[in-house]
Amino acid sequence: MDLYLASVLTNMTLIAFLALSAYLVLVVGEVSFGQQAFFCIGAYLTASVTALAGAHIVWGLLAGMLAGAVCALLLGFLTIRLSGLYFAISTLCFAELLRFSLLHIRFTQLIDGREIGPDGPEGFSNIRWIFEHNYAVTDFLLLAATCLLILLVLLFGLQRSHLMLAARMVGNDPVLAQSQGFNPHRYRLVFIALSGAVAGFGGGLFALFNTHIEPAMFGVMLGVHGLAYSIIGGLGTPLGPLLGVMLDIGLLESIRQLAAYRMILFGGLVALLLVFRPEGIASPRLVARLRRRWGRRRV
Amino acid sequence: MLSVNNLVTSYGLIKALKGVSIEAKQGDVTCILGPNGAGKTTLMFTLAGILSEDAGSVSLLGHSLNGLGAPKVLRQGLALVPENRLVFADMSVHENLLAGAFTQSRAMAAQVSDDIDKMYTRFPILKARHDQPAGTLSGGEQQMLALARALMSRPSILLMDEPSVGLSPLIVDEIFAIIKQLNEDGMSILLVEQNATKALQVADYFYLLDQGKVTFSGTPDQLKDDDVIKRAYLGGS
Amino acid sequence: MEVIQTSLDGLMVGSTYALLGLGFALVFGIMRRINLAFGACLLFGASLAIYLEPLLGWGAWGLFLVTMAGAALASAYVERLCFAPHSQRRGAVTAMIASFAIWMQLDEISSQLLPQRTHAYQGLEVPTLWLGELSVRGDQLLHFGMALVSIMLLYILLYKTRLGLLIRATADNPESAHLLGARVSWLGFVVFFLAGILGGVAAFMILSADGYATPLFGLWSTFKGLMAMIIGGVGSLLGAVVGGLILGLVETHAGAALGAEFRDMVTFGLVFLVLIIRPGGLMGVKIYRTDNAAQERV
Repeated sequence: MDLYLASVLTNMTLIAFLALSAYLVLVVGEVSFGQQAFFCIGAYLTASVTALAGAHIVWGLLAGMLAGAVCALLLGFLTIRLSGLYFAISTLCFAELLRFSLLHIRFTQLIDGREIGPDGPEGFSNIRWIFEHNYAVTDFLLLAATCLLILLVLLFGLQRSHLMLAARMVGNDPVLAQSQGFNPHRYRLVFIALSGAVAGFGGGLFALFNTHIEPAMFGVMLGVHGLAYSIIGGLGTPLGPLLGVMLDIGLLESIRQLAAYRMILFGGLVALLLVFRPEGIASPRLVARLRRRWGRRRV
Repeated sequence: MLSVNNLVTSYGLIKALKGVSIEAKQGDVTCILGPNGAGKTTLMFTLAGILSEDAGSVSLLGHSLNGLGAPKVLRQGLALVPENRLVFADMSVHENLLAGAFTQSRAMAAQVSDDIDKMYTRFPILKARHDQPAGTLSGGEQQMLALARALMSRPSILLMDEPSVGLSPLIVDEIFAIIKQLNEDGMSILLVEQNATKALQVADYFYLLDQGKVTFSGTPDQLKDDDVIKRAYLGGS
Repeated sequence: MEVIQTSLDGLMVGSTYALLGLGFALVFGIMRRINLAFGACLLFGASLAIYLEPLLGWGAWGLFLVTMAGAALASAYVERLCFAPHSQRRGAVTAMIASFAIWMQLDEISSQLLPQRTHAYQGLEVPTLWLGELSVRGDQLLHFGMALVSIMLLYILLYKTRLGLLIRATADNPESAHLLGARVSWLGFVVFFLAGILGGVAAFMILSADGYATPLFGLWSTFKGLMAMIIGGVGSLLGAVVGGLILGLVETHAGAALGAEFRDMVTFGLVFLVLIIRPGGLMGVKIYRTDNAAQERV
């Protein structure tokens, strides 16, 4: 496979994790501007575990995922009273606080003649696990895509579960959900934690692929992109956020020759798309209609 | 069966219920009348465990419901059909019904699908629309769906908050026919209404709630004889 | 003495934040919407002004007028494309994401107009004012006065005119205002236009005080405006003004005490704490209670 194509596809796969984590928060009816924080935590932790401690990437990715989930849960507890705009801004502040803190965290060690570890604004360089173990770009793409596929299968499995049903009710109308005997706070916390885990895992893969990470990469733009992919793609199915990612990165890469003007064109196209499909491409309604057409009974 | 004693609830800084006592008997339709802002919805939310009471007691079939919170209140057999916010608009009719049975344990899965079939027999229109998003139903259909969803939890008493609000007269007739039918099948119902004329067709006992207090209680005949109520709610002279 | 000097500087900076905060509070208070492209609109206005400056040659006042007009036009464009089509209650998130897309677009247009990283932005030449040992930069004092005048004009417009009455009625209850004959969709346009003008004034004040403009200005001013609004209390206009002044004071004091690199951290920490402890902000406690959670979706 073409190296360029492989790296574009890998980037799409990695961003898909971020988009799916934004999707999980949207399911419970909240908007988060801070998913990049968990992506960032996952990236730094995976980097530390593999490059500093020298562990296998399985441990690195698990640690990143767990750290993402724990931080998300913490944020969820702190913001339990907040919703809507208030929640969105508090997640933004949380993410920015984390990013600014990382500018001041320095813990480097000399390993094999290289300075390795978080180094303030310089970031964390020489995350070399995939080089040292002779992973080609295509191998890594295969690994990341497999992980994404597993995540999607899990999410599709979750679609019909009690948990997902309850979470969607909470997202639809928390008060009505409460009158049906659901505790909205519980489902919110569970889904925020899940979103943190997904973002953390994706961040871990991102660190391994990029081999260098720095706080500036995890600004609010990254998080809002993830959020936008979910909304553009539609919340009807977990494939929606993926559609958003493909549309954005795919289309941007394919109109590369227009280079300078592509964002002007693309921004306008997205706004227009939302005028005609306000609930995104794969909106809940469209998905319901397709299901009906295929004649599958939903039980 | 449902007895409410001296219930006090505040909403923010405002005391919305100032010591309300009511009693709903098994197999009866008990109706609470009252103007806007009388505290009817606050009463309903408090009974359902969504708001917590400051003082007073609520018990259902001898079990106290105080401080249980919404999930446990529902498990004790009290289901609420709230006003206005009726259905989960983005979810299908079928999923809305499943939501109602959520408090039932997993072991009862077979029974849940039985119950859903029963609802579809009782409300054929819901069967026809089972895979549509509930938000696309008409107002009357949404009211039926909300009712069916509440019934899915197999309640011993059903609370309905203004089922006639915002519906056309024909649909209101239909809803009240359903209420009557449910009651004849043995369901106890606590109904909040502003439409006293309609309520008189189904209710066995009336309370009048005004500014957080019960100002009248009596049978339909007593209600019809009360001059003040007649003027305010029945429109006659 | 130094504390007073720092506070004075803080107030000067804060007055610009107050205008940015007002831009957000106007839109949120009246439409219940967040315009993420707000900062990008200001950047567009400023870029247009810098681009046209050599052609027009009107100096600082030319920059001021073009910045304001450009920002207001961009803001109105954002309203038509991103907010007018999503005016139903459920459209809040969609509208926000659409405005994000336009943010990207306006950013790109601005960087086409201004290809370099920094561009000079001419300020007004006013001598520095000395009060004993205290000093206030003359241009900043003038800006402070401009902010005051802008706020007063906004007050008069909202509270003393028929248009203002319609706008406030729409903020209170769009359905009833519609029945009274207010053209709700047209008012949305007016509100965005006003927010753009206020933002344009703020952009001129900030950029001319700095003496240069960078492409990061858009993101920066969106942040400052949002923060000022949150500190003061979401949706409250007075709150946004007070919140902006507090933000300015806190920033300059934190910068003086801890160094510039911790300044932004202190701001974000403050806003995070405000949200957790007192979600309504300074003025907005009542607003938070009445528009409770379930009805408010961003």
